[in-house]
Amino acid sequence: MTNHIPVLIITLPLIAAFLQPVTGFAGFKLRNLVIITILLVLNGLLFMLVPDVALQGKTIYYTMGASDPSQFTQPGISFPVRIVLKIDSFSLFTGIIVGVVTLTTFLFSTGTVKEDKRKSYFSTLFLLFTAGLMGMSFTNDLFNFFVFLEISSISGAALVAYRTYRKHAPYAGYKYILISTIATTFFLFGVGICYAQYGSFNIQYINSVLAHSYLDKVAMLFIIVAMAMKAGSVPMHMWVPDTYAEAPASISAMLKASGMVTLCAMFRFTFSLFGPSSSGAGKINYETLGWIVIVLGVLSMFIGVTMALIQHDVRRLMAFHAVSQTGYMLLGVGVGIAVFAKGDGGAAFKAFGKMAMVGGIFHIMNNAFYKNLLFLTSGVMERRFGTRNLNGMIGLGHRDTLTTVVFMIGALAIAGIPPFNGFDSKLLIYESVYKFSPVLAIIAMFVSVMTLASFMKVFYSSFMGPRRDDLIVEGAPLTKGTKAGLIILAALIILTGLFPGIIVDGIIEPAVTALTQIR
Amino acid sequence: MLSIFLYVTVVSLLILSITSVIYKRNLIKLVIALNIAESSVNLFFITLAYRPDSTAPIFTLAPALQELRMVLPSPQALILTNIVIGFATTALMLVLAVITYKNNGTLDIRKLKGVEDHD
Amino acid sequence: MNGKIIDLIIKPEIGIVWIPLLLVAVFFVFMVVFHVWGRKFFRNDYNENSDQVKPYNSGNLDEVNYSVKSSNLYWGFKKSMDRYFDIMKKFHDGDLNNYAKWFVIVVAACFLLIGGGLL
Repeated sequence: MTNHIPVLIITLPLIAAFLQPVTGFAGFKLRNLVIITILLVLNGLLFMLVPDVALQGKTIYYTMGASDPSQFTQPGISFPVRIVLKIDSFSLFTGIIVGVVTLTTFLFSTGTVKEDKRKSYFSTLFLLFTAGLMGMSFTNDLFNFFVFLEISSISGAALVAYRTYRKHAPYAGYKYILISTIATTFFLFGVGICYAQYGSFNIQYINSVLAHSYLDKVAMLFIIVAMAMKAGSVPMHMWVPDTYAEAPASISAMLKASGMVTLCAMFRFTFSLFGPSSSGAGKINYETLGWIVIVLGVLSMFIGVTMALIQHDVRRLMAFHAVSQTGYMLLGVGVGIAVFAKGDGGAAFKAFGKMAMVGGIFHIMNNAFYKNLLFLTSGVMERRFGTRNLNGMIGLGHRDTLTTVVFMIGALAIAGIPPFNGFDSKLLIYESVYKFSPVLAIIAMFVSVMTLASFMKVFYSSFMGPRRDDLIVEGAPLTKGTKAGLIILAALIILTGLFPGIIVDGIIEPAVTALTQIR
Repeated sequence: MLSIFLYVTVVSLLILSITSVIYKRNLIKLVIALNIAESSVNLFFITLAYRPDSTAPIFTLAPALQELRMVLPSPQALILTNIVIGFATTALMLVLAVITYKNNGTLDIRKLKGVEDHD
Repeated sequence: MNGKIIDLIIKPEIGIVWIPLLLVAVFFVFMVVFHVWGRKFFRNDYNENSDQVKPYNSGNLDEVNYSVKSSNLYWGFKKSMDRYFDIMKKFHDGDLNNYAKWFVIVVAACFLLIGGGLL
């Protein structure tokens, strides 16, 4: 049983998704209970893998349909022939993000998303989205990755357009699926170029025989730019605010998680697929690649935050912050990439490059938590006032104490104020980027200040001010599930912020080591 | 020589589709453009799998062949998957385009711009 | 590097220490102190039943909609960067063609880098 865990993590949500029409007959409560149980089991399985994979540095392979699934290659054949799942510390880290975000988001959405009786479109699509993201985290096969990417984009687009009675929601869904299709088409083109030369889709096998020819570089270009587009980095970010604003609040949070997974996949392709291989034949210029990532990151940070400052639609404002925070991760990891293969025998990488990558990867996790929390609280605001416009909101702090407190926690975390988790990862990024180039660190700090300013604006206009019960459209108190989702996320933010050492040593640092080791 | 023509076709189809995504303004036409892009990728994979003077990769044909020449089976299987995915994408995009038309009364993306949320 | 990367940001020699439990303890002590003696520390003339609780609207006679709208916040900042924001708003106007255009531009720029031998 234990060696079937990797495939169980992907198939559990998939089976649950197609059971939904059946369980829907049993009523909402039972159906939600089943889904929450399945998501809890999923998280349990993921955390069961932590001692083996993250702490001891093992790598678990799972070959689909083989007699001994835990072997990478089958007896008698020197290269992998089947679809192989691979769990190392980095993909486990990605999986944990998806698991936590999915659980809390679903808990929140039990109380907020309304469905007609016995219909289960939302939960089916939600579980399919989860299955897609889990598959993207764990697969070691390029075509399989493409299939999971398409599963997540199609279910994601349907979820964005879930409230079809709204005027702009279907068009937002259309935008999301259009952008995803362009990205995945180019991704598949790059995969095809790899397959044409090496005759395999397995990431690890391709890496071991990679020749780093011009054709490989074209493939890398297609794959990485497509991933950057899906993750929403400037200048390919314009779909982010349009899409996130129209989706239901819980789906905005899931889309953010999808962006994080895509970003992780991009880093994995940079190092594990196109990285320096053991055959040692040629290599790409890591300094240029790092500078491309850094430039994309700095542009994302600056343009995202300045545009966020002038929004007065709360969800668009947060979506622009999503772009801006993506910039931090790109900056941290980009510095790591730039010094990864420098001519000094890895001295610069050991001195600050690794720390920058740890900061960037840690920021992915922190950002997934606090951004999720902020999107969920924006859902509460939208429900209360019936509008997303900040001009129409005032004095929510008198009514919803819990929402106010968790919003404050999220806002302080995103601005990088000490006891919360945003501070830890941002400090790691500042310190290491300062050693690489002081200007970049100063820009990062400036962006942090602007982030605080724009969240002050949200807090001032929606939570403060006199109590105005005449503006409230829906005053029903939050359900238990909704509160549970918010409280779990807030607790995670505070715990990660107070004890960063445990998380960094336990999960993040092994993840970076697994990512950057040369095979 | 034939394969060169096929690769040129693949690239020109891709350029054609991305050009129409940039310059066409009708939502339905954008769906068609993306379909062309998908076809070009499908054609690319099939071209990779093609071997001259070979049969279809069917198991029962294998003993009958003197020297074993078959086209590569795995890209064809993958392209079958991709065609199904493309069908799902097209269906969803057309549905969303129809609902957009119902809600807004237009398919022109210049008229659908309407971001009034900026200050 | 045996797993102690977080130690790099804690530098006892320049006085940076990170004791999380102390932070929590201090937070709770302050909470208790303010809860018990809070009114005495701050305004002890506070009276919930007087006009003190009403917002001070500096001569504005509209007592209901007194507050500064969120779109008017940071007005000076926005005004001084007007030219930048005009350009940026044009980029984010919701035009679908633009989205694909920027993807093509980034791909083309990276192609130039590859062609120039930089990547």
